[in-house]
Amino acid sequence: MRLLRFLLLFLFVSEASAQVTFDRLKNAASEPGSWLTYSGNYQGWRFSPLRQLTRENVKGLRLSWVHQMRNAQVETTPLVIDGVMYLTEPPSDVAALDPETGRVFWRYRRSLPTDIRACCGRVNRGLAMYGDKLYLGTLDSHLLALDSRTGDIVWDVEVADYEHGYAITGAPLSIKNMILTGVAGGEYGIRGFLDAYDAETGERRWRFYTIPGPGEPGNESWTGDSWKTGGAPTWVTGAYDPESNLVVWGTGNPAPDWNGDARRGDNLYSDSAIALDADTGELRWHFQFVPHDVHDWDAVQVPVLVDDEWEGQPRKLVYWGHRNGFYYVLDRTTGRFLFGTPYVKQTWAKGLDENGRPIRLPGIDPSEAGVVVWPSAIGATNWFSPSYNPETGLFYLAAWEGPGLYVKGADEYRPGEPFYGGRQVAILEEDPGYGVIRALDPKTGKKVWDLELVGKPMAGVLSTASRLVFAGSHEGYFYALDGDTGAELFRIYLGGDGLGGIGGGAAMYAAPITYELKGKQYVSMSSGSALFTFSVP
Amino acid sequence: MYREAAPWRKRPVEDRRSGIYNPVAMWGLLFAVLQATSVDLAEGRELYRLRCAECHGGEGEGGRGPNLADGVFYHGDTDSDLSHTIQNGITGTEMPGFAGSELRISQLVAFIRSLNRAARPSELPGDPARGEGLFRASDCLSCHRLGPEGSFAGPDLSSVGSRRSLRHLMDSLVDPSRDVRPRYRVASIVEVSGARARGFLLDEDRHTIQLLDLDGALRSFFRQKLLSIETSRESIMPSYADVFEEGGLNDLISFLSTQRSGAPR
Repeated sequence: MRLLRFLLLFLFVSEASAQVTFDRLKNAASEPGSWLTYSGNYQGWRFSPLRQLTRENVKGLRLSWVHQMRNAQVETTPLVIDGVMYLTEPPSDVAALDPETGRVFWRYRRSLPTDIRACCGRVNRGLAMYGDKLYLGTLDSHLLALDSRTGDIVWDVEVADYEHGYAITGAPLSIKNMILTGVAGGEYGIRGFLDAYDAETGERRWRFYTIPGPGEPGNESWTGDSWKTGGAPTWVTGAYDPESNLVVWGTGNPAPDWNGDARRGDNLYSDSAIALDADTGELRWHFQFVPHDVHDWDAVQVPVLVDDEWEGQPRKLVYWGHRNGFYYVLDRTTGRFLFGTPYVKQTWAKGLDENGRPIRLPGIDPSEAGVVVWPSAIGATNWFSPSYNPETGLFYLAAWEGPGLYVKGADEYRPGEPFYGGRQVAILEEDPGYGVIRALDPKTGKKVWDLELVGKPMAGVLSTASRLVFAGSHEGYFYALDGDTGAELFRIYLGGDGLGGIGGGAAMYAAPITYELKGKQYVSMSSGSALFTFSVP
Repeated sequence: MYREAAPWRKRPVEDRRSGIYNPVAMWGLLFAVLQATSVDLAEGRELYRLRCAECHGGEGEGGRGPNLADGVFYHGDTDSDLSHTIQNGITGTEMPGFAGSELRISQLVAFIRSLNRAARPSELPGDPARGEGLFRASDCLSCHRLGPEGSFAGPDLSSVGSRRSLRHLMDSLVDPSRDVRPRYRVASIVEVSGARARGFLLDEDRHTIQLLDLDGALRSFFRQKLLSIETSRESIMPSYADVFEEGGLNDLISFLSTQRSGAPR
């Protein structure tokens, strides 16, 4: 009898569980009920085609359920795929839960060493999925494949040595049958890279070093051996253009952050957009936003890939609201600079030249006494996702208006130790500035509207086809806004302020997502140490 | 998967950071053990008997809980790590916390260290290589996971050797229903609509029930939409008591006992 049951089991074991294919990821818009990848689509839009929640009914949102976690500073973007929500929890844990009730199916807990090098919080921003596996980057710099049904480890590879300052905080990106992951560690003097791994076996397919080695073009932009410890990490998930098989990814600051004396030169490819062939990892083009950065103005924003008219011609574009205070439009085929303009107050550049290179003003470099410059080192914006909405035609982002203090210090490198070359103060008591949720016209970089905030937001932005914008504040307010005007349509205080590790202890560090289940649209947002999910009853 | 004569000597990836393989820590450990008085050890042994032995085995050989005698501690192997684990338990596992005084906890740690010190790798009762042959021929991987191979319907065996004693492995093969972890109990449900589902009962509350369907789908149900729920405490794994020829079971448990890679969950 028991043997019979055993045999029956074999009949049951089929391929009915979730299967994410490259086609599904490429055509994310055709299943708007799901949230398949970090930014919702490959193009980095954080836009949902769902229309059930509207500007009229969104005020009726009610709490559906809450998912509690052990730690605050939740930066995760959950995935919702085939009726299951998968999310990471800080520091490097995973949960699978029912997106209708919030009840947990399974959890994976990573045992981490105690001496993790994470400059800015023991955080994780999310997962990638391919086939029936989930992919997780961990703070001890491993990449894991987990069985999406059980959370069991399928493979576990070391991406880099965490004891040398590497960590993984970003969500991996699934392309074809590869899993791409970047690394963090710009504050520890790593040599940054972007890796691709075989989704099935965990074998590394390619590695692109964001700092060229000796003999490679770009290595001459570093003096001496500074390229070896030059940072340029890749800690925020990039975008992908399937049509041209192009990965577009942002790179972080050169190290040490605030003292550039030992690394004279442009320091390629730090603070850049890099575009790689997805199959080989070969560089197709790069655009460096901040040559020889001494302000920690990473290009760790999600690249927004849009096909639209430019000067009367259809063109493949990249939109980029940068940490340095400028908004950029690049040509996606060549990487050529098309346009750039400040979108916040900035005091460091006279403007951009015809190639997009900043024309620096004097007296802006960090000094021992400290120099005040707009924007602060947290930036005009940071890793928190922007949203591009093809219905309103607008580009939304959370931004900071305010100055910061930059202090130069010693720059001795010791493996695995903080390598800042100074310090910064991101919010000045005498001039704390303010935060905004801001809508820009992506063609001109001009502000269309602001939702002005007291605290400076650290949370990303979501928009929908029904012209809604969802955003979060420093204090823990979750908003639904009119995408055309910025008018507040819904607001709830979720709390959690003071719990986060950076940016003055914000409540919200994640970006919202939306999904549909059994005909009902939900929207989820994290605050404090919990994920909150809402719907209209 | 069986590659070397004494794989339990191999340092697992997870554990390379600190602790007993580090010579400094090794001396510290020895010192700590020597320092513990015989009274402390006796107290620790008694506490262990009452609080730990049921799952970890009388001599730390492992059973329902991991082996504590082989010197591999996946949740940290310093004294402070062990104390922390004992005090707080391990979330997401069956390991509860024990709220004892600092003295009691340190006595427990001292006793566990003494198990460690005395422990010798058990003599394997069979041939692991032959065991691997049986493991593969018997299609164990159609339910169980072993590293990158296998499936979802049974417990992950990738590190079962560090979590289960030889005796427990033998018991599980001969009489799988003897000790079925709650996670592997199977529920059969009938919905009001007439639809049926059968799967591992992952969790339940007054209003809902969560299953891992036998076809691998994670599903949640509202109780009010169910006609019936039947839960079985019997394992869906068949007994292997009479499947192999003479010595086969010993070979198989010897193979399983050498599976010590990766961290247990």
